[in-house]
Amino acid sequence: MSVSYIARRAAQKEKVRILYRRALKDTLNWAVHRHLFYQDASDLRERFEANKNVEDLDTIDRLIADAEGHYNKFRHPDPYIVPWAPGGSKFTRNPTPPSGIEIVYNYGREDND
Amino acid sequence: MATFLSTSPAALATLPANLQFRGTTCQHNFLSFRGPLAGGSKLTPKLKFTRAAKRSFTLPNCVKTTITCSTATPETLQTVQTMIAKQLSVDESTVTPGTKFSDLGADSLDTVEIMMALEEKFGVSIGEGAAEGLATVQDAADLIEKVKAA
Repeated sequence: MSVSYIARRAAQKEKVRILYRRALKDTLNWAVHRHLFYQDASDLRERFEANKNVEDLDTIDRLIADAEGHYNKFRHPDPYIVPWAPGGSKFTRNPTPPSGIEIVYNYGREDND
Repeated sequence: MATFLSTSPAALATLPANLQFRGTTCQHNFLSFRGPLAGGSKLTPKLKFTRAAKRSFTLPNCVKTTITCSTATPETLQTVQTMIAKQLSVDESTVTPGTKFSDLGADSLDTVEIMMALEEKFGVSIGEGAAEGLATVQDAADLIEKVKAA
C-alpha cells in the first residue's frame, strides 16, 4: 500500500466527514420539526452507508463530487447559526473586557463629589 | 485631576493609584491597564500552555505513564459522556474519558453525529476542521470546553 494511496484515502475520508456534517446540519435547517428531522437524517445516513464499501479511489472521488454537487444544489438559503458563533446575531456583542480592565459604572459620580 | 474625573461621562474606568496623580499624559484613558498591558488574545496562549503541559508531564518511570491534565470541567465531561452513551445506545458505564470512539463501535459518521448532538446540547458551534483528530471522549469534552470558553 503506497504512501500516495494512504494520503488520498485520508483526504477522501476527511471530505466525506465534512460533507456529512454539512449535509446533516442542512437537514436540520430544512426540517421544521424534530420528528421530520429524524426521518431525513436517517435517509441521509442511508445514502452515505450505501456507498460504504466502495474501494476504487476514482469511483469514490466521483461519488464525493456528485454528493457535493447535490448538497450545493439543495443548500438552505438561510441556515441556522448559533447566535454566539461567527455570523450569528449575538456574535461579538457585549464582549467581556480583556483581563486587567475594570469598568466602573458609577455614571459620572465620583468618590469626592 | 479630580475635576477632570468628575466631569467625565458615564463609564469611567478606575486608574491605578500610582498613575492617578502623575500628570496630564494618562488622563484621557478611559480604560486603565493593570500590570504589563494584559489584553488582546487571552485565550489561545492559555490553551496552548495546557496542551504543552499535558505533554511534558509524561514521566517514563511513573506507574501511570500519562497524567491527563484535562481542560474540561467534570460537569461538561459528565454531560458529554451521557450524550455519547445515548447517541450510540450503549451503557453509560462503558463510556469513560479515556474510551476511544472506535472502541465504542462508532465510525466517522457516528462521530459527526455525536459532535452535532453535543453542539446542540451546549449551544455552541465548533468549526468544520476542529473535530478532525478526535479520538477519545476526553478529546470531545475538551473541544466543547474550548469553544464554550471562546
